[in-house]
Amino acid sequence: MFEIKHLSKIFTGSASKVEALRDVSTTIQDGDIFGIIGMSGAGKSTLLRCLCLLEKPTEGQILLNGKDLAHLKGKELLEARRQMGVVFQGYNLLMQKTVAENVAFPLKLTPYKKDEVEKRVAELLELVGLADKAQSYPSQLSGGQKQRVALARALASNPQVLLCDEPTSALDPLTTKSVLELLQAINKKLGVTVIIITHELAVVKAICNRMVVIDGGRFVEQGDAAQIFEHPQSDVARLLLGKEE
Amino acid sequence: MAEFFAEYGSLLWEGTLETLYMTFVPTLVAYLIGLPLGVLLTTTKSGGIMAAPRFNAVFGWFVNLFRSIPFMILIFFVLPFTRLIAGTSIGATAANVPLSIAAAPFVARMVEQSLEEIDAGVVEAARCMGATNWQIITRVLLVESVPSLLRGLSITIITIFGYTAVTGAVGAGGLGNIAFRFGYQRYQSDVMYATIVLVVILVCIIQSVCNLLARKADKRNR
Repeated sequence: MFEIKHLSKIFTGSASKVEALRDVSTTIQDGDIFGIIGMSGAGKSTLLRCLCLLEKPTEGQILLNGKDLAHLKGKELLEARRQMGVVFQGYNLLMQKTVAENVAFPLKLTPYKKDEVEKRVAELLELVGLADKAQSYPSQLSGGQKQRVALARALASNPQVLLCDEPTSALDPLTTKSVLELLQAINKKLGVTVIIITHELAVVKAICNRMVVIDGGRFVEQGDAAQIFEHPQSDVARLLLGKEE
Repeated sequence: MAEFFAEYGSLLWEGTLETLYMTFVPTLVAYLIGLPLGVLLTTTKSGGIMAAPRFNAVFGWFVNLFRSIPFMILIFFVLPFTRLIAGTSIGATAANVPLSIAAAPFVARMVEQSLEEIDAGVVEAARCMGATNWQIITRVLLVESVPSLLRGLSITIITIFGYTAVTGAVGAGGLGNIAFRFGYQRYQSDVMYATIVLVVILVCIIQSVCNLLARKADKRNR
């Protein structure tokens, strides 16, 4: 179980104070495909940076199986980060390394056995359907293929939670569909919890079972995805759904 | 022509070797010092993986200080240090000391520039995966920037190559010294022209080799 409890993030500049997240809470069950949707400036990026433990929240907790990850330091923090896989909008692959080396990257951060890494990399590339591209470089791949490599890399360390930051926003509709189907398949097969942060309604509609709507740094609505699509309660949700009269 | 080479051939050959010696030894030393400094300049910037803006400002100022001393003056300024390291203050080996000192901050800035080109997202991704700062430096920053570092290397080598002419003029040997002695002090312009031809050829070779290496190393465009 992955819980966000009373999370706040305030950026204090010399003259200004920006409340990017204001006391947000939600619970994500194991195996969920959880959508976090909002318009730009709603606080999505800050939330993602807090969830992948790059940014320390000003207040609140991020609990993975009851253990607070938000305020860890040093070695424990590095270890906690390894329990989360992250997929980015811009893929963020190493351009000078092959596909196989990219996927192996997280596996080589801790002491490892060479043959085990090779076996795992082959498994992962098989899983995302890129076994034949192991020795290619990212520049030789299409956007959808790059995102598959990024996905394989994120899954390498067997994370319990897979965080996806606008995973399909740079892809065309057809590729988007195939990447989403892959995410869904991986969720079923590995049982990994998937959290998708996006501004694209179609993405949430296609694969998420639960969702929150974020606006102005607050969770304005959360619950069953189908229900929210059916009867949106908040103004923002209605606006996003085009049901604002 | 044959006469000219019979008379000056060995002199020019020795001068060439000396110039190359004064170019590549300082390049090596300058990178040994400048590469870590460049990494430090990049990583301690605000937003960097080891952000320390105040240290970075002081450190950057220090690097600039050394870079702003004209090379000719630097040679005299570091003379005591040169004697300490090389045991003498004249000759090619002695010249390597001020050349290295002048080139190190230059290299630091070149390396900094190369590392700056790396997409911040890639570093972010490595941090998300739980990489330590050392792992990010050695496995992301210094790997992703290799083509750019090689292009910087060619600029560095050619800059140091140019500096050797200055050390040549104050008694360190090399092609610069030959050009100075024969071309300026003895009005033997044919010898000076020969050194110019040699210098142009050497620069072209250095540039081409580095370009080729950079292109070979870059996996982004294939």
